[in-house]
Amino acid sequence: MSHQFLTISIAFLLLLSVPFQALAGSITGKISVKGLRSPANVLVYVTKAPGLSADLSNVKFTMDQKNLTFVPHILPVLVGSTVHFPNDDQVAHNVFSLSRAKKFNLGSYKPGTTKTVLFDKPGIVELRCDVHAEMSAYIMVMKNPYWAVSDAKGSFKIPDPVYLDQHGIKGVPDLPPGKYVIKTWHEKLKTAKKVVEVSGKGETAFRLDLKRGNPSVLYK
Amino acid sequence: MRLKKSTILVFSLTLAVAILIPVLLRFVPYETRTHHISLQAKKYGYSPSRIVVNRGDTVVLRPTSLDVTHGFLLDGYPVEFIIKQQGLNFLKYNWKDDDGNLQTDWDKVSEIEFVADKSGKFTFRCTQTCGNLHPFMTGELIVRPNTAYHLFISLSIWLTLSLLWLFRVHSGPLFAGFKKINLLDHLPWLKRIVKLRSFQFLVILPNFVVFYLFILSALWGSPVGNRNIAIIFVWIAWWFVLKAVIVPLGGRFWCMICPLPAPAEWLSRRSFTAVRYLHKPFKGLHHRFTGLQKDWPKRISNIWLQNLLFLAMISFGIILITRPIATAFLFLVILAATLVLALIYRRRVFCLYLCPVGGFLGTYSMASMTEIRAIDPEVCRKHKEKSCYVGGEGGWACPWKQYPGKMKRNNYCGLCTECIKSCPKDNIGVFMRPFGSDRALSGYDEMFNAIIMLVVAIAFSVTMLGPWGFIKEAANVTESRQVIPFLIYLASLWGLTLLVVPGLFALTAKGAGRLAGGGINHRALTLRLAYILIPLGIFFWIAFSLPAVMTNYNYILSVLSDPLGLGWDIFGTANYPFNPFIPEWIPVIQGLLLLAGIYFGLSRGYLALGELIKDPRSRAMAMILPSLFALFVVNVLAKLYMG
Repeated sequence: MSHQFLTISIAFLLLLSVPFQALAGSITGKISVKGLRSPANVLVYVTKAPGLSADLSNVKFTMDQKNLTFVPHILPVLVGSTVHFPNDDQVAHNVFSLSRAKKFNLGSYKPGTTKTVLFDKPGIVELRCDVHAEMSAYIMVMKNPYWAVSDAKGSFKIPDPVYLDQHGIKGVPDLPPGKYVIKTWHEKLKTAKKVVEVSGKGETAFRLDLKRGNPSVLYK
Repeated sequence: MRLKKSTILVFSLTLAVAILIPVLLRFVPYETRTHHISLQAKKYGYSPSRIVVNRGDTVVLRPTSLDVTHGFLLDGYPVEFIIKQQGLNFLKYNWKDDDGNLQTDWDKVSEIEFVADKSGKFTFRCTQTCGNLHPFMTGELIVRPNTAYHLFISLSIWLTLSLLWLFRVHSGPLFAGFKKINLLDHLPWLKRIVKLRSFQFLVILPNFVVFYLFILSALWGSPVGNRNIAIIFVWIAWWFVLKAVIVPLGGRFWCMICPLPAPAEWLSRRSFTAVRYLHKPFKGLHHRFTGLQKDWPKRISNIWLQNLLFLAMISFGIILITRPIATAFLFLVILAATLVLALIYRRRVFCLYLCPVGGFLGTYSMASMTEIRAIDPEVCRKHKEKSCYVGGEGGWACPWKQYPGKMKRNNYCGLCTECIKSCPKDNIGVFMRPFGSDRALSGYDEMFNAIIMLVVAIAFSVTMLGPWGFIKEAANVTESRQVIPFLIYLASLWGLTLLVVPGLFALTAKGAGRLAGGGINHRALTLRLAYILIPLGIFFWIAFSLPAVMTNYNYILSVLSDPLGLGWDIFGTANYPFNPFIPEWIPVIQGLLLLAGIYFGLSRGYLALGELIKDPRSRAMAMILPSLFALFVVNVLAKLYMG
């Protein structure tokens, strides 16, 4: 029964989204930074936007450990997601977090094994490895799916179709027309804030110049 | 020396050709590509130690360390990173903040990519103190076309051939230089100072205090060489100043201020400054010394022992200059030896016959620009008392066993200024003279000294400046515990210095005698020709010691603030960063020094022959083979430095 209901409601939502898409837009842009080797790995996100009340059971987020490095360096996930922590390295790792959004300690575990963690509160989770002090990564627990992580050239697109597709998140419509607050986050850059108007006619493009400094929290 | 117009024209045209050929080589077309290199760092070298690419090639390094944390700083390129185990690297990057200050951060990376857009030879150096031989951990990036090196080869050949041609065609006097000047006449204050009885004591005293503090620091300070003031000041700062400034300008000036034998001399004289003069001479001298007062045996009154002791010291050279305790031990042994010998023998026998440094200081002082000599030898001849030699009321008998009245060479004059004070006729002067003025070696002991110094300069360049970790490991026997490689290293060092190079040189001299037309005493000719090796050797040593200062000067600043390595920061420079001074220019500067070595070696060698072979034609012929020998040796070193 509930399954049927879900299917119908998703189909209904999809139907609704058809006219919406015609009236909605995406945000693209380019980041330039002063004080970093490359403008990659900067999270750009919309602070307030419609959430996605979809099923997250098919969604897979993975934070890999290879060659004494967490891959990716920054992993935005939707609140309520479970993240897999496989150890694909040659040595044991011990992933832990002391962040307020999620405190955990997975203990030391061997190559070839995987552990999972549920992230149920929005915010920044800084990952560390007890065994290797120089390993670090960030899991950004987001309230809505309107985010992007900049590539090596500093380009981004919100919503990020490639990213969403990769992780199996379906049914994220473009943003409805209106004014949105865009913010950035990178562990070594000052958070930038910009108000962007999405007109509903395709893409809205802008540039962001970021400077070295301390970032602020994800959501006030 | 005035040259004919035609001669100048020939020189200019051939010089133009010599420059043009290597420059044209730059236009030979080549293809650029990407090199993927897995770079392994291990105490004390990189593998590959030598990376050869073309200009414009992309280099992608995948570094990893096989033991401890190492660094990588490439001369001339903005590439610096730290290498840890398992391919973990931290790449440095800089940016200017809003206030225009340079900021730095490190990024964790597994690959480092850069485009080799500057040609030449560039050294990469370890930046993390990784062990005893850390300052010598280097590798090389050669970006072809290496025009600087090609230019050097071309110019060295041009210079040698031009000089040979000049010897052949020029009939008048060559390389005359300036007339020597008596500094005591020109600088009355200097005369007043050197006449002071307390002069030597006063110049030794500061050195004495500092040197014995260094011994204390070497014994109780940091065991890490580049954190200990004794190592840094003795083997980097002092060694460079000695080779590059003191020896060429002042010759044995160091012997004047050397603190090591001072306690022995004070003990033997039972006086710091005053002269204790006896009216009735005792065993020929107007003094009585503490102890047995014997004279040094005649049979070993030469520098053979010095040669062997120098080689023995150099055999452990890389250990000596990186371990504070070894340096302290060396100083204490020298101190003990001077004290014991002073109680047995009169005069400075340690300095004259045993001091490992004294040997080459003597030989190289032949070329130096300062001398102490009698102003008018005739005055000396008529002066019956010879107070300079046997002692006078104003000064001690020459501690160096020299008679200034007949002294023609600097070799065994320690510039102590006793004779200036003891001469009642005021007939001793301190002269400034042209570089390379004493030109006659007196025996094979001196020739071997010159050859040993030449070969050791090359051997040290290979061991310390070269990129070969396995040679460093062989030389660093106390840490690596590899006895067989060490013995091979020793055998090569001793074999080259005592057999191979002297043999080659003897053959060269023999050939030179034949070309000159025969009838010339072989021994005299060989010794005269060996003079070429002295100016050459001086420039070799400057070229060798210069990079140590240009790259490691930061350690001088840091040990000044933290002399014992105990974490002090007296002047705020304790953590002065490792930041080599224009390191990309080192090969070029070394090349110029080597060219200067050829010029002074050959020109002064030619002058040395002038006193033996009167006929200009056969003199020019005699110069051919030795010049080619010098050209060859210089190019061996140039290959190491620039190629």
